[in-house]
Amino acid sequence: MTELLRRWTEGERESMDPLFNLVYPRLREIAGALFRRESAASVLQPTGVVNELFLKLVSRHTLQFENREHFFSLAASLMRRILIDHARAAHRDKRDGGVRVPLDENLVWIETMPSVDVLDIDRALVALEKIDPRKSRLVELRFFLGTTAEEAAEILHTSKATVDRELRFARGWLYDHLQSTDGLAGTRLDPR
Amino acid sequence: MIRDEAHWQELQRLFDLCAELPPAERLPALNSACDDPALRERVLALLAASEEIDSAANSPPPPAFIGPYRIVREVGSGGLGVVYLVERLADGVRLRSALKLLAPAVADDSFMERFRREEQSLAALEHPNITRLLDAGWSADGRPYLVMEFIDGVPLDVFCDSATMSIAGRLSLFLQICDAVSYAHGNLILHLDLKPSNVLVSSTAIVKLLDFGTSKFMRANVDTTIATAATPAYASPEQLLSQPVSTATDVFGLGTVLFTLLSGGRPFGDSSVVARIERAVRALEAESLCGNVTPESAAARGLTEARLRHLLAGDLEAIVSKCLRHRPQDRYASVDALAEEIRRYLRCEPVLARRQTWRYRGTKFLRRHRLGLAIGSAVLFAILASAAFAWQQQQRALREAERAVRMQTYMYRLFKMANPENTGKPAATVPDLLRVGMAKLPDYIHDPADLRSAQLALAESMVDSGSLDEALKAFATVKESAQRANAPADFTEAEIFMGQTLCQQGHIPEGRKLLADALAYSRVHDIPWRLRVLAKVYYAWNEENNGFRTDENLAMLHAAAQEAEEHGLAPRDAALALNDLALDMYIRGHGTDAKPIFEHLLTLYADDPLALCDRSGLYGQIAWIDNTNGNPSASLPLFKKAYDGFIECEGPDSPGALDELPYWADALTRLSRATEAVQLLENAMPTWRRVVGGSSDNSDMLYFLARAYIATGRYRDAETTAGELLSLLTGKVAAEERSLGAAHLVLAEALAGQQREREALPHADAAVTILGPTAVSAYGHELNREALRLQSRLRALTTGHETLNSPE
Repeated sequence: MTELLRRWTEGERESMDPLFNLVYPRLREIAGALFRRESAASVLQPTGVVNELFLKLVSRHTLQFENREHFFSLAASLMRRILIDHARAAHRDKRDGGVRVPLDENLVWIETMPSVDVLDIDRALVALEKIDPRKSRLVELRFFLGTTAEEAAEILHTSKATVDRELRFARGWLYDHLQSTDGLAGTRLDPR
Repeated sequence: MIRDEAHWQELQRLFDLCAELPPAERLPALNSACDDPALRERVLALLAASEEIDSAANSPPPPAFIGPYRIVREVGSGGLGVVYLVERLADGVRLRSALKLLAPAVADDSFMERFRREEQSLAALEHPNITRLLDAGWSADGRPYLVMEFIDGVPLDVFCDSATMSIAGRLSLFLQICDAVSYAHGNLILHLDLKPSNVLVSSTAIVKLLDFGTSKFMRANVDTTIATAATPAYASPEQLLSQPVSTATDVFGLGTVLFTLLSGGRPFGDSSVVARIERAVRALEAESLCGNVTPESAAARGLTEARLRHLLAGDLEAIVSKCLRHRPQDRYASVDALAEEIRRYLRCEPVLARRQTWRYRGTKFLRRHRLGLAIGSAVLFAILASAAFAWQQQQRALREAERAVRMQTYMYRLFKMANPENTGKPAATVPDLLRVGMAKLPDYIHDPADLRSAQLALAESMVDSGSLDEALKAFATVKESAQRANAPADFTEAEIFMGQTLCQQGHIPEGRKLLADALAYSRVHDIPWRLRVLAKVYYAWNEENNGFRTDENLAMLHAAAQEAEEHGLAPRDAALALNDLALDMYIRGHGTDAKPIFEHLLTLYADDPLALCDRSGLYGQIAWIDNTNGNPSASLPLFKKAYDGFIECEGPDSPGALDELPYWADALTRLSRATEAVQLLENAMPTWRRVVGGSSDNSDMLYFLARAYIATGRYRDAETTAGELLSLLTGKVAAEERSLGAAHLVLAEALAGQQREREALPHADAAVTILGPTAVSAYGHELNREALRLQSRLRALTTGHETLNSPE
């Protein structure tokens, strides 16, 4: 498990699959239960998911806390994936209510773009990831997992100033990407 | 159009350069830093996007109306939403109130339905320090809102700081808050979101608590209880971990308020939800109060930094950290207990923020079972059964039918209060239930003698569930009533249990006096045999347990056990007499003689389905005696029985089940199966850390893991574990306590195993100093012998080294 995490954080994203298989079904279940209870807008709080993840990975001794950086990155990535999967399911059900991600006040800007939903953001993130995987991880940590800038800096072994700077840039880039029709139409859905 | 990825680094560099500058200076700076027009254009596009985000993030202007309420102005905002001062015309009168517009995430479809259901009980909350909730609804854009009494005031911490209020002044205000919360708890309403910003101080210096009971019509699901907390900085571990909430959750909330009020800081700093969950999972305790003192916070209290630190260290630090303990049952048992503690501090009396230990096995001595705090139907049944039993004895005069009806009504009410399905309230804990049960008793029982009897039964359950202060109050009431009515039996019973409870709280002199009085009283008055036996058992046991050991005490316990049998006492009382006799024999070093008594007790408990935990504890006790008296192989199946039993009665990750593992592992280590012992304990470690970690009362896990490591030659791991053990115990247990000696011993062994004799020797010396006087039981002697052996070996080795290394 630890080895898988290490490879994953070092860029071998496909090594994530066994991890996903281990924890994802139950997380999906929790998230699904949350969504079902929602009314007009679907909103997911990270609490239940993160809780389960901690208990599953940490308390079973499959993961030492020395790997907390890996752990948080994994959790953030899982949160993103849960939201995306849910949004896809919502699209399939043709009851597109738009899925919002209320994890951080930094995400208010997404709500101001009415035509944009989580799927668009995911596509933009996939594009960002291709150019700069580190920034896409940062976005996941701050926006999808809701960590503070200080915590994200600790997780990524850098300073808060760097995190703030990189995030400001990534945010601008994503927003620009979402606005350009090129960005919306041009990027194909990642089949993963 | 350029390809971003081809100029990525440059793009980021130029973007940062411009973003740091005021808008007017950006273009010139960009022109001089970059001569590629396409790249410049791209940077400007990204800057424009960034600007747009920033302006979007500014909150939009409020609407003119929300529901029927006209908005006057915004009066505050926080993580949960925005608060407006609003007006509404009613019968030509303009009424002002506060409206809180919430995030959509905090409510769901049943919001209004649940509000209607709670409205009645919240309206009944009439308290000068609690703001009234007036209305709720959905705004036009689908956001839930709450309307409450408008308070023209400022947040508590702001009020105190701007008035440069002293610590004593702050504590007096805090007592007002406690009073309000306690009042609400008496009505079975929890707050669940207590934090400094939820407390306002009005212009007339009256404390006002906001948002009482509103947590109940927020989302019902436990997964999202955190959604009701505005900032994760103040949520309790049980809320973060989706575990049941109780009055202890509000004690935690009060702890966070007190923390900020005293130090100016926040108990968990500025953490995100995720980071708080991580802390909660790892059972990390709050930050230290003194560590949060800054020059500014000291100045706001009219003190120097050093002086404020000095004031907070000690009692106040202990009080706050007891409120903020990770495990709900380690906090103050009630808000009243916390308030009483603060009053004691203000009166300069010693505070009680320390916990008694009741364990006698392993490095401690023995354990006694406490009832779990979360309500389980079996526990509830046990309480009610004990109350019912006492009644049936006393109420023979009542007609059968009448008695049955009253009993049914009472039980029905209690169950109704306990069941969250019925009330929409969070599940009541045993202490909640007992408190309410006690308060309601006079409504159902009118005969003073019957009432005393039922009060005694409930108060004894309060002792079992850890509500010692409440129990003491009840015993005092019974004692007074019994004295007036000249009822020697009730008088004796109340006095015995008062004495016992006081001893348990650490008031040894007062407790001993009461128990001695009760014993003397029981000898000259005509009271039932049950009470004569109990007077002896409790007196003698407490003397023995508190270090006043005499052979008369042991003889008295023998006599009590015999009388219990001769006079046909109820199994529960007879078992108590035998149990305390056996324990006393055990702590006096006669474990093998005590063993048949423990085995006999097993047969007494055999038919009682509610005594599974007690039986499991007995199996564990017998196993430990076998294990430390040369028969570890016989102990293995017994440890398994104990462990399985606790899993059945308390659950897989329960403290009871976890408690068995270190002793079980010790048996494995002794049987040269240390690798299995290591495996057993290593697997349990994460759960242990989560459930009881950080508590000096449950440190045996670390101790026996270190021993198992030593037995497998893993001295480095042993050193780490022993180091953790030692730092866990240091300062938390008395300097002469055996567990501390054992910790030194195991650390010395771990160091000696790495040929670090010089470092090991001081620990071996410390071990000998502590373990010598505590060597009474078989295991105590064993530890002491081990320590002496190691000490002399290390002495020989270190002096040997000195000779070798000396220049001569």
